[in-house]
Amino acid sequence: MCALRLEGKVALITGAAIGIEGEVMGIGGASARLFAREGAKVIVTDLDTERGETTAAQIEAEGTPGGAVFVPLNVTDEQQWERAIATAVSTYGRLDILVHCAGTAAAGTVENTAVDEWDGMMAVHAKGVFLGTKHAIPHMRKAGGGSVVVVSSIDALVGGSHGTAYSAAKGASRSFTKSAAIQYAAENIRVNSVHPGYTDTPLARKVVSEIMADGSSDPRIPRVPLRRLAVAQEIAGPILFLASDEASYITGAEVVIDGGITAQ
Amino acid sequence: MKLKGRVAIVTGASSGIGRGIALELAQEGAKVVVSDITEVPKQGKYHEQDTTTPTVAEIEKLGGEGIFVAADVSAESQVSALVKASIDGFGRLDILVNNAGIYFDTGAVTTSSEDWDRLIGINLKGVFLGVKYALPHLRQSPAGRVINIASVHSFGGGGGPAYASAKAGVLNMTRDTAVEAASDGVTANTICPGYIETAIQDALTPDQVELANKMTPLPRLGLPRDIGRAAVFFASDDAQWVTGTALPVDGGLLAPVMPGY
Repeated sequence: MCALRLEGKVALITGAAIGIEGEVMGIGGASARLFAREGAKVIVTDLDTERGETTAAQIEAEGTPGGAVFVPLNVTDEQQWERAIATAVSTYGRLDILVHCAGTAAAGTVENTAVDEWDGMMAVHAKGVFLGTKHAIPHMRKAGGGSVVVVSSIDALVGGSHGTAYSAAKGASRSFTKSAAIQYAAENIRVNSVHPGYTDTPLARKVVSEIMADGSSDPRIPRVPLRRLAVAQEIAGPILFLASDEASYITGAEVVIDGGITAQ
Repeated sequence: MKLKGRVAIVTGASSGIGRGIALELAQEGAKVVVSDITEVPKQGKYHEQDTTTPTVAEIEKLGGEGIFVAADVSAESQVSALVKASIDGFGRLDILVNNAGIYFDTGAVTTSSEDWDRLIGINLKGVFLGVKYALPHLRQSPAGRVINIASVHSFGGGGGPAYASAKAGVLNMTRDTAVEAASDGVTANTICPGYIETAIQDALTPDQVELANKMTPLPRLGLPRDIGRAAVFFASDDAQWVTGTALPVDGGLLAPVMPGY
């Protein structure tokens, strides 16, 4: 009855470096910690090698039922994906779960968005999700099934006043999710997206500080029916649910985790 | 156990999806007020052929605690009595699952006005009444939850005018409840099941059952426990920042542009 929820599973999580005890966590880092506590072997991947290694080492040192290893990964680079997934399979023997959490953000209207900013957003959020899924599917097939969780955003569902390229890229990952879900459902490989609202992560702090640079107040909290920001751990919970067998009949779905913002 | 110490009401819980929800909540430690018009489970011609024991007896077999309270959710006095029975029996209420529902597959011309009122009364007004009487108690809970069971029919036509209207109504009513209840930390969410193996499918022809099988991307049809696990998710601390949302649990039925294509 109290069995671990990811017992025996191997999970690769991108953008997972910011999971250091005592610091504000990112969604990927909080997910890595939660997954390991629930018995998963976690491949922590990120561009940030220093923090990624610290996160993985802390998970190992805590003696969680699972475990963690860090592998550097730029999600826009296909060869690095091949290497990261090969490391996952050679280290832990299989791959069951892939969580696409790597992301960057930038504010900008249509006119203010430079073309290379646009390309960068698309590379990380759309191409990165495509490449990782492409190379993970054969291993999930071998494992008899799997779960891919794409961390999208409420910006994929509704328009925001900032972040043209970010919204478009997150929208792309949402549609990709549904398409992949249908293609691999018969093989019991599930693909779902989560759509966080305002979450207090280091990345969000950076973006909001840019918006508030002109002295305006934090625009977020008055828009949230639950009247607060989320912490990354509150996004990790639904990611864990979708990754686990508890969601065995859920595919192609989008789980919104926004404190009620888009219900209004 | 994710729900130890919590108390839940599940309507329509003698059989089908409601039974699956009640059992999964109990499995996670919740005390469950099992409600339905009768304690005797339904048997279907396609599914649930062998379901005979009352849900409360199954909960007790799991080592859990439950009571049965008879209620017609379309009758205001019975819903208020149901909520009172939860408070009298267990001293609190944390989770309300509005699941009770009926289905018939008649078209706009052939649906009688009485049948429309009956279906809307149970599937839509019943949800309103449940929230109306439960919300004051859910606001006292550290983890108050409303979980409404809608359908894939919330999003499209094809189930007859009454069912489609009621299920779409539940979806938007849930959003409204989410906004109203948020100030006290109470969340409200919808689960939208696809084809689940229950006695309600008796309304379908064998060809329609076969079609559902073909249209569902995952290689099996849904089971009541699939919905139960989603209900546990919404009820648990995992979902404390999730409110006003709709989760399809449908084996991928809603994901394609053209089902079966």
